[in-house]
Amino acid sequence: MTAATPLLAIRGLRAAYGKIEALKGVDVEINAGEIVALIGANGAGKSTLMMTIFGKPRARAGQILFDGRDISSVPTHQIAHLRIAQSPEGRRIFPRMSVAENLQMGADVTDSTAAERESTLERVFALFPRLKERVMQRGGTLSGGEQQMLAIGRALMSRPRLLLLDEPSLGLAPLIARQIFDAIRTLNRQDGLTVLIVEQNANHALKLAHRGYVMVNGLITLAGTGAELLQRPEIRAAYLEGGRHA
Amino acid sequence: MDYFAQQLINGLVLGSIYGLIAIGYTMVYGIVGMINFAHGDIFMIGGFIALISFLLLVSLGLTAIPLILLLVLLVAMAVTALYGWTVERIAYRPLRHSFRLAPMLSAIGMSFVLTNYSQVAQGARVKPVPPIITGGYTLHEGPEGFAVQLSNMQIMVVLVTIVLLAMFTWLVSRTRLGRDMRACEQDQTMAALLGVDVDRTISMTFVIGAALASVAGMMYLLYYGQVDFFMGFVAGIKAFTAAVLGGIGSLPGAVLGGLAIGLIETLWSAYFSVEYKDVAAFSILIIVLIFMPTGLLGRPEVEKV
Repeated sequence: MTAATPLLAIRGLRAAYGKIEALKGVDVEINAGEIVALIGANGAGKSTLMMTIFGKPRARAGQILFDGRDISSVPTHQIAHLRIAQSPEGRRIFPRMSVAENLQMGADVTDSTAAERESTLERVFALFPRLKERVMQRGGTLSGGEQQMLAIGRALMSRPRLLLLDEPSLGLAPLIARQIFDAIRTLNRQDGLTVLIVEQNANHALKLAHRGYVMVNGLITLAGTGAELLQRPEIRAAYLEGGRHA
Repeated sequence: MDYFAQQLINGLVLGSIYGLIAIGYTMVYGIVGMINFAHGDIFMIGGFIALISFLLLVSLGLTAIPLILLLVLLVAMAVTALYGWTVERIAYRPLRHSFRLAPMLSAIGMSFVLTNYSQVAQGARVKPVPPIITGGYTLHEGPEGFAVQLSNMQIMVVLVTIVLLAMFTWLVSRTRLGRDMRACEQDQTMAALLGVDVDRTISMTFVIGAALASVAGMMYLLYYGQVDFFMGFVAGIKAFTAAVLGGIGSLPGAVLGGLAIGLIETLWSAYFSVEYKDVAAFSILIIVLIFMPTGLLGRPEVEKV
């Protein structure tokens, strides 16, 4: 393991929807084995950053280095083959496919054997037993929390080297949100899974993460360890006190 | 009663042909949200390829009819699939991210191109073939001398349709390609995020739709004993109607719609007037759509997410 090169290094990244610039020169680094949180208000560009890593939208300037290789012009479907997985904003599970098929969609990108796939599936079911109960049910009939579990489970099925999680706790009951955060922590500790997590729930995310970045209007304004950021008065004022407590 | 039974058989055979074409409309609509107006002409091309390859094989000295038909089927599917692939590649893919009407206009253009290309290349005359599959069964002889006939040709059309539908259903529901097609239909961006090559999957959809339409073209050639450059227009409109009637985007709906249109047309011709059979088919379509706007098996646009 080369500790010197980060697994993902984003340098001066700019991206736009039409004429509206959503990312205005973003720098983020994620080392292998880290959980990194990205926090910020609605519309700050967090989800855009997640999607730009996959080339949707394409970067207008800057670099996205994965394992030292610039992937900013690699076609979207090939990025998944580098074993980067995303549980995107809005979950985007396939509503007219069964839970089993949704999970299989995640596994298709790997060239793993049936036995390997089976063991990954067992791990996902161990993390989210609810999915096992509903394995033949159509994705669209699941509750919000179950859909969230399915979206994360689907991403895990590709045995990712880097997992991007966009608002995994959005709209979930606190108990279920905690289950999901616990699952992420377990994956990180046991398998060394590298995670970039976007959250509006800054308190949860910064407690979970090793390091964090704060994003405002398409720019990174603060960076530090999770604990440091939690102590910053401006963070407390903007994202914790008066915001949603959990 | 015998007369009715006979019309039922005729209607189901015609409906099978419509159903095979309708699948192509509904698949393409499901995945790219456009009506492929050139699809009827792909059916016509399929009929011509079947005719040409049949004549070629016969002139090469082949005499075993079953072998010839099998080869004709394979050649027609392969060559017509290539047409389908090419049409998508040159006329639709460049317009994928353009405004919604652009690929539809391009499709109408492609329809003219294919029609006129066939007319120039093959001539405007109707191309007849002698009956190749002959014989049949008399199912029931009525007292007034009316016999219910089931020809071998009719049996073949229905059998081929059933076999193809079974294979096609298996492909869509059980294979990776089918799963990728359904994923692209539901959320193309997410499919790409999971490593699905969306362009390739869309191409394959056109290829499969064209292959099924070519089989319909070949069945038409054998059943009616002729093809002409203009036959894709009316058959295409009918099959499109079938797809809408069944619920556009729904695969079982396309087959059901095809059978319904085939039956309506045949029964109307039998009991009322042949001249107004198209009026009857389209009137039923309008009536069904008034009461069931998404067709017989279509799903409502709004989904719980």
